[in-house]
Amino acid sequence: MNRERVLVAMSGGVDSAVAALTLKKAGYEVLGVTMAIWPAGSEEEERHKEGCCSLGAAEDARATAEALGIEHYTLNLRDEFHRDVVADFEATYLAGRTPNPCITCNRTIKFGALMDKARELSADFLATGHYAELKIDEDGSLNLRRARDLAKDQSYVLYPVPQETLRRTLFPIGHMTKPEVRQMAREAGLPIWNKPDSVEICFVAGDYRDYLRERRPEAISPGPIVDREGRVLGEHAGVAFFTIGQRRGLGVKPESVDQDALYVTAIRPLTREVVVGPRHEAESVWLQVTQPRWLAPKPRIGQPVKLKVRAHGPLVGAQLMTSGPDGVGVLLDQPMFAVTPGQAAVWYVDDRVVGGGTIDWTRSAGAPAA
Amino acid sequence: MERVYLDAAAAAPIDPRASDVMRSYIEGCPGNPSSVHYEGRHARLAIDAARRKIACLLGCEHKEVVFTSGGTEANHLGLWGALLREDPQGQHVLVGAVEHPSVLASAHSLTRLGARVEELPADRDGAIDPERAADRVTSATTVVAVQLANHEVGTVQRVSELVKAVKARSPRALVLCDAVAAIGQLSVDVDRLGVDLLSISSLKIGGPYGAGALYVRAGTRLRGVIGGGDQERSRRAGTENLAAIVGLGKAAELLQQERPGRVQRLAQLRTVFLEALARTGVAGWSVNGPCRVAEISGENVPCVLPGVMSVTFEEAPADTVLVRLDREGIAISAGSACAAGSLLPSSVLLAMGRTASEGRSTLRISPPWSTEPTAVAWAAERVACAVEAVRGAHGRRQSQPVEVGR
Repeated sequence: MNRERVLVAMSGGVDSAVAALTLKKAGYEVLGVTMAIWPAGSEEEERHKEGCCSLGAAEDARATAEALGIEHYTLNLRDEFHRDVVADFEATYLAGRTPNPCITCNRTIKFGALMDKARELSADFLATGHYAELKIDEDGSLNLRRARDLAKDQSYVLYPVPQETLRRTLFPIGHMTKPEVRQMAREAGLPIWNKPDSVEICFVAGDYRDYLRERRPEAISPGPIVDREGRVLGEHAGVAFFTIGQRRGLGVKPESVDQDALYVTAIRPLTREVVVGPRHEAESVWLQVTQPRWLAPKPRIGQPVKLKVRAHGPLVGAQLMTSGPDGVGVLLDQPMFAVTPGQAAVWYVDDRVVGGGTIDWTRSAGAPAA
Repeated sequence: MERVYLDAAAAAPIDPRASDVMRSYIEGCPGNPSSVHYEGRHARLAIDAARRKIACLLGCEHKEVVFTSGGTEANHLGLWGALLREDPQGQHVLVGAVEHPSVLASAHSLTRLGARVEELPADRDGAIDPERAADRVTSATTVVAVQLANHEVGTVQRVSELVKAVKARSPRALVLCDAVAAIGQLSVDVDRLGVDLLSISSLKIGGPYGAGALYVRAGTRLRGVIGGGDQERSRRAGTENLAAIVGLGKAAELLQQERPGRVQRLAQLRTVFLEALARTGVAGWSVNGPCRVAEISGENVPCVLPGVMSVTFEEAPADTVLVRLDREGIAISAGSACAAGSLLPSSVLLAMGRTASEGRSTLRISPPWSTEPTAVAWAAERVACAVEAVRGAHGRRQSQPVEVGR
């Protein structure tokens, strides 16, 4: 009898290791794969020896596969990664927005190019160590939900994966907590059971500002720091160094000690202005979301949903108010601080991912569009 | 599952006759070849014997043979050892664009020392033109590095013509010939070729890992790169890898005796493979390099090694084809591998004018001479199936995959 074949994306970490382990125990034919994304032999590969998808990661994944008794291959996705993820990351910052490269990578690489490889290898499924629950409901529709371990839930970064791809995807650890995952790895004798989670962006060692300064120096241009009325308060070294809600590193102070601290409220790349103001000016009530994707039937206009606008942010109440060629307009129940263009907005109904898109612009209460 | 290994160009199976003679040098107390006592002297004799076998294989004197840890080190020593005789600043190095990465990287790293490194272009078949090469030679040229045959495509270079043309331009220019891929299939005589430096590797001719040799023409000064001792006439320090050198010597001796028969078998296996592939009816494939298969003497006409087949399959990424074949017990390669084990795009194919996509869709099939023809024919069928399965995977939606050759 032919077992179903699963390609498991192994990052060298404990989550994907336990994903592979549970699939093997469940009787699948498991192939472990690590993606090589760094230019080979480069200085950057040297610097990133230990991060996600690095040379060190491939070695850990190989050792884990060996310990699990599964085959392991390394696939070269360098060109795709550079073209789709790194270029988009840099361009987004230079356009005055804050990118989420993990989401871009999920859309184009992990569930894009790597899924192509899975098909080429006649794999029935692609599996990852993401914390998210995925099942097919009785009526045949796709149900992507928050993970059992809400602190680790990664459903937010999975929203752009197309439905037909999700139907060929497994998230074997979505119903487990992190401590349970580590425990399972430890009991299986896997050396990486205690390996710390990687927390930074995988291809940026250190501060992203230094990264941009080094890689795109020609595009970092100084400009004015202004308030909402346009008064110049100071100078900055480049719009790419700022993100909405940022307070530190502004180099300008409120005029007097009674005034509120200043935060970045908007970034205008065309005029190279960074707009600052008191905290309430950095709060939004409206988001315009472009390139929306839907994982379930669209909610009715005005239907209450839960919204998440950053990977580690809270779920807040909102309503989807408009949907058209300009994308989806979302009204928040309460003003929310530091909603950032470039990030994803993902909406949920009862913990189920219903859809999401990229935040294009926001509006604070009683102010013109940022 | 009995595996079918078709990647001799990366690593040839170790000849059991070589393993046999190595055995007594990997256990007991073989001694240090530099020692005065009985053990050392006998180790020394074993090295001398191996050295003479290499000399016989290459048509040179035994003292012109320097043992190294392999082909890469031999190439590196040839380049760096020549440049470091004097201040590298301002010295000129010419290197073929289709050379093995060990030659290209060793050459390019010399720019850090102030040398100027220039690549010689190859044509669509991977051949370097001797006259065009000589045109680039100046009085500052220290080394011209051109392989005897290409490791990925098998193209045989016109080395003796190139040497004549280069020396006519500048007698002081040395020619380094990487014969690692060629020596198993072409007879080599360093005087007929006229080269000053020539490298071979044990791993490609049925010997053990960890040994290679650099021929250095008498009278050619060479600065050692690995220092710390006087071994190999101060050209390569370090206690000799006794067992590996003995194994290499045996492999060289067997090669010298058996080469004609091996080449005949390789030519036969090539025909079997390509005919079987054609019979499958798989579309969109072509063999890279010159059409004509080289005779053992190598000739100064465009030809290709019989034992190396570089085949491009349109729209079929090699990485997943190789994984599919590996799952079926067939070992084939494509280009070179990175440190993490993934496939790198082939610099050789790019230098031959192939697109990046073609470069990523090319397989290298190099059967060991001892392979059974039926195994090679079967492998050809499996290659066709794997290619079709990978091609068919694109554009597939939710229907069950067509299980061709799973």
